[in-house]
Amino acid sequence: MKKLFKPFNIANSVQLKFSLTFLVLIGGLLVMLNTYPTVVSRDLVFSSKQVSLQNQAGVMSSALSTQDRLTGETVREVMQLLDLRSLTRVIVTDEYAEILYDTAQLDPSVGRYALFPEIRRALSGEVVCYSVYDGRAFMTSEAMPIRNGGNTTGAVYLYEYDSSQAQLIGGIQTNLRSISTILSIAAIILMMIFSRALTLRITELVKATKIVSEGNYDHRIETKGHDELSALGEEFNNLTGRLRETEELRRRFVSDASHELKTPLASIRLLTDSILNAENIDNETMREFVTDIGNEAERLQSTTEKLLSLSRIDSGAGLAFEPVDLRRVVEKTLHLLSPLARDRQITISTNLRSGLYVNGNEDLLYRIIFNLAENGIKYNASGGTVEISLSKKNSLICLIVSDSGIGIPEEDMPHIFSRFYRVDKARSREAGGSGLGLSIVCDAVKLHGGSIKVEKRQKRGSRFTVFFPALEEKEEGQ
Amino acid sequence: MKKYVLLPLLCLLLLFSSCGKKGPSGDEADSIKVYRLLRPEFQSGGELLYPEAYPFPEDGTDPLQCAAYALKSIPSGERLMCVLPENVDILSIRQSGRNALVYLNDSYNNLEGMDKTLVDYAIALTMSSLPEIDCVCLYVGNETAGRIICPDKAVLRNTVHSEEEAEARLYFPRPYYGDIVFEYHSLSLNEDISFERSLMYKLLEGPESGRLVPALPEDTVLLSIYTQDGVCDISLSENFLLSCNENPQMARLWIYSLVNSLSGISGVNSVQILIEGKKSAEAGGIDISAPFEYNEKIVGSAFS
Repeated sequence: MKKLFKPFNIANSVQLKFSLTFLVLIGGLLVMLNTYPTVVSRDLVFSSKQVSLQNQAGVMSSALSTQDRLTGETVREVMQLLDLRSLTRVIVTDEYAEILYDTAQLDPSVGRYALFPEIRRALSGEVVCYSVYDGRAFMTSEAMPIRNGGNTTGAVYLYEYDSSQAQLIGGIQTNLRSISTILSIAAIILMMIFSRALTLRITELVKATKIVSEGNYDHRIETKGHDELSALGEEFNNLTGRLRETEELRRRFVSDASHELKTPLASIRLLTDSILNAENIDNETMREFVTDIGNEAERLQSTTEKLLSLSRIDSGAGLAFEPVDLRRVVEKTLHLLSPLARDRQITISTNLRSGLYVNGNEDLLYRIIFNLAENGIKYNASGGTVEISLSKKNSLICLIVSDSGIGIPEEDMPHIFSRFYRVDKARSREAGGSGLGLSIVCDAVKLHGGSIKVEKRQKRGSRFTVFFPALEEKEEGQ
Repeated sequence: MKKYVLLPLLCLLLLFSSCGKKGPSGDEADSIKVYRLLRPEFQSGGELLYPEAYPFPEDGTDPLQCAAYALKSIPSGERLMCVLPENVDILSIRQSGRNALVYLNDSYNNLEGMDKTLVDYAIALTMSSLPEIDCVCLYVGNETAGRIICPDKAVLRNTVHSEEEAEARLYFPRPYYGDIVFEYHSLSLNEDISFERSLMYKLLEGPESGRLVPALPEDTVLLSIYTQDGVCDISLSENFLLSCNENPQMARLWIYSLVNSLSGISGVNSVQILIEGKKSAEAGGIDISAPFEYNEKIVGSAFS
C-alpha cells in the first residue's frame, strides 16, 4: 500500500513546537518579571542614597570650611554638633589625607592616613559617590572636598551600610520568585493540557485522513466547538461525503458503461451464434440477422464514441478554445439534422441572433446543440416541432431548445443529466440512446463556464435553456 | 610527530624563562611587594595602592636597591601605574638598623597634598615588605633630618563593613624579630557581647600568618573584661602569670599583643592586666601593677 504520510518524528511534532514556543515566551516574561522591578528598585535606592549622603556631606563640608586649618580638635568640635547616627562611619582628613576624625568604634584611625580612592578624588576637588548592592545591603560611600577660600583643606568621607532597604528589595525578589514559581507551574500545566488538547484534535484528523485514504469513505470525525479546527473537521466530513458520492458515481458509471458495452456485444454474439447454428437459414432471415448485427455494432460504436467524449471533457486535455460564432454552429448542426427531422416529419424553427460569440471548443459546442436538437426530434411525435433560439441577456448568451415531444416526468428531471440515466429505457433503446447524450451536454456546458436547466413546457414537451458567458459582440460579417 | 617535539621544547622554554627573571612575576611567596597606584579610570571604591610581586634578586643585588629600582619600573598590570612621578627619583638607599634610609631628589618637594602622602607610603610599604625593614626614613635633597614613615599608619581600605561587622588590628608576637605585628581580623559585633570580649575571643583564635605566634600563652583563659573611664580591666587565669614567669622574653610580647590590640577599641586608653581578678606585681619581670598604654616602638612591619 502506498505510504501517504511520512514517519512521525517527535522532534518535528506540533505539540513540541507549541510547547517550546510557549515555554520560551513564559520564560522570557518571568525573567523580566524577576529582573526589571528589582533593577528599577535598586536604581531608585542608589539615586536616593546619593542625594541623601551628598546632602549630609555637604552640611559637614560647609561646617568645616569655616576653619582656616583643620586639626583634630577643631574638627571634633564641629562634628559633635552634627547628627551622624544614620552613618556607619565618618572620616575627616586634612589635605594630606591624615585622619583627623573617625567615628569607627573598632580601630579608629585618627593620626593615620586614609589612602582611599574616594578621598583622593575628593582632595582633587571632586564630589564622589559609590554605591554597591550585594543582595544583603546597600554599601554607599560619599566623599567631598572641604574648601576654604578656594583652597582644599581636607575631605569628608561618609560610609553607610543599609540592610533595611536591601531587605525590602530582597523581600520583593523573594515574593516575585514565589509568584514566578507558581506561575511557571501553572503555565506548564496549562501548556500541557492545552497543547495536548490541540494536538489531539490534529492527531485525530490525521488518523481520519489515513482511514479515508485507505478507502473507508463512511468514516467521520466528531467536531466539537466553533474554532478553526472544528471548521476543518466539518470540511473534512463534507469532503469525505463528496468522496463517497463520487466513488459511488464512479462505480455506477463503470457498472453502467460495462452494461452498455456488454449488451450490444451480447446481442451480436447471439445473432452470430444463431446464424452459425441455424441449418438451412433463408436469405431474408440472414439479412435480417446481419442488419441487426450492424445496428448493434453501430450502437456499440456510438456508445464508445460518447464515452470517449466524456473522457475528453473530464480531462480537458487537448481541447482548444477560441471565439466561436454560435449562430453558425447552430445552422451547421440543423443542416445535418434536417434529414432526420424530415424523416420524422418534425418541423424545426429558429430565431437566431447574429454576432454572438463564445470562447469555446467548436466540436463540443456542436455536440451540445446536436444532442439537444436530436433529442427534441427523436423524442417527438410525428408532426411535432422543435424550436431553437439564440439571444443575449446582459453578459450571457442564451440558447433555448424546446420541443413538443413526450416530455420528461417531474421525478426524472433531477437525474436526466446523470450518466446512463434513461427515462424510458425501452423507448430510448429503440431510439438508439445510451443515456450519455445529456451527460455530455451538461459536462460540455460546464466546461465552457455555462449552465443548463430543463423545464416542462406548459402544453407538452421540454425546454432546455443553456447560458454561456458571452465574448464581445461583433457585427455580422466581421 | 610535531607535537612530540614541540611539547618538550615548550616545557624547557618555560623552565629557563623562570630563572633569573627581572620584572614583576605575579604572586610569589618570597618576593618584593612593590606598591602601585590604581589608574584614575579604575578608582571606583576598594583600595588605591596595590602590591605587585617582584622577585628577589638572585644575583646578589641589594634587595633595597632592587626595590628602589622596581618602584620606578613600569607595572605589568594594565590597571596600575607607577606611584612615583617621572621627575621624582630615589637617588640612593641604604639600611640603618631596621629602617631604610631613602634619599629623594628635590622634585619631591613639588608634590602636594595626598600625592606626597601616596609617594611616602608607597615607598614605606614597598621597603617594609623586605624582611629586615620596618620603617623608612625619607631625606630630600640635602636635608640632614629625615621623616620617619611607618607603613602601619597607612589605612588602605575602609575596615568598617557594617554595624555588625568590622575589621580590627590584632597584634601577634614575632619572636624571631622580638616585635609584634598586626593582622586585620573580621569581628562580628552584636549587642549581646562587648567589643572587648569579641576582640579577645578572636585574639585567642590565633594568627593567620605562619610567621606569627599566638598572642597569649596556651591554656590562658579569659575570666573577665570590661572598660571604665578609659581603662580596660582584663582578668586572665593564673596560667598567664606562670607562663610569663617561665618565658620572660615572650612575656613582653604577650603583654603588648594584648594591650595594643585592646587599645584599638574606641574608648580604651589603657589596659590593666589582672590575674584571677587581682592586680599582680609583675609577670616575667615586667611590672603589671599599672595600666599599659599602646606601645608603638614594639610594633614591627605588618607588610613584610
